[in-house]
Amino acid sequence: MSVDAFFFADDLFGVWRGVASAQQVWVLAPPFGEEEKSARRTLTDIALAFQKRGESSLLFSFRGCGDSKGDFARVSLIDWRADLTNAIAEAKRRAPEAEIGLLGVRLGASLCLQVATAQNDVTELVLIEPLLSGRSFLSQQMMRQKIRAQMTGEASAEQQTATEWEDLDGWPLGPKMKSELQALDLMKQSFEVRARTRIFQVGPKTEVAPPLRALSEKLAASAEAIVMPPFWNLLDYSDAASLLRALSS
Amino acid sequence: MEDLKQRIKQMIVDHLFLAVTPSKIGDDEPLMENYGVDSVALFELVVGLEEDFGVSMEDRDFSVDTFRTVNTIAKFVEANS
Repeated sequence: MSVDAFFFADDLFGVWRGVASAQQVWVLAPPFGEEEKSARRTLTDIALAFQKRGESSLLFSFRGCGDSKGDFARVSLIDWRADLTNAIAEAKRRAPEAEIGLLGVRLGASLCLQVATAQNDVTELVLIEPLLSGRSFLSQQMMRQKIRAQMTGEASAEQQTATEWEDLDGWPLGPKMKSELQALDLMKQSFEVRARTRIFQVGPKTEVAPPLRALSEKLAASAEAIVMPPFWNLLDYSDAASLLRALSS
Repeated sequence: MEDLKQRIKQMIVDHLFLAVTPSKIGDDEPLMENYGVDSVALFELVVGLEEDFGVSMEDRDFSVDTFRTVNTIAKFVEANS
């Protein structure tokens, strides 16, 4: 079993785990910004679990994020969908006989769903807490900043000097990305996904919440609630055992 | 009001994955000091209020003081639900 950290498609940094002869290869799409940092350990745990059962994976970062090249303030969701398509091509190149699975977390999951619609050869799709609405994601981020500002005494979002971009937890959100995120609404989009699709809700609830239930019905997907802390929000390590168990079924 | 406070305590335990029985949380116990509620945890409580009580907190409504104790949260929920 090999582990290889490398750049592909010029700008994208990825970590490959597995063998060329694998029958299943997964492209792992992270969230972005601070969420990517927090989710990294769990995504690596997922990659290791796949490797243990003989499946290969490519965990990459979208351009402008993680160790990938690019200016975060200048990228767009169109760029990131292209990055995901490039990651799929790289995974196919490395394991030519394998079936392709996409697994995404948060925005990474939303992008996986959008890209899977255009990719006939994706056979497995795993969406972990997909962002259903970019607009509500942005308002949650603003709330988060407000909370931190009040707790630490730092300048709040509305006190920041107006610039071309807004600050998203230290990540400069360019106008293009902002308007694309505001327009993102998975419930209003139509999808033709051929892959077996599984949606996972992660949090304290044992029942899948109505919005994710509605998405699962729209996609004819299964939906399951995993009781564990929202790992993409945490600085500390969270035990991913329950998620890994669910993924193995 | 007592029922509301119990539900709030349950919400706190659930959303923060605390290893305590909800009834052990005192109505006036300082949540931030005693349960290590930081900005990340506080955000989870904001989400919990929305999910469990249908109380949506707008940016302009937000005050850390609302989350000091179970009693302060209960007052906010009562005033806004």
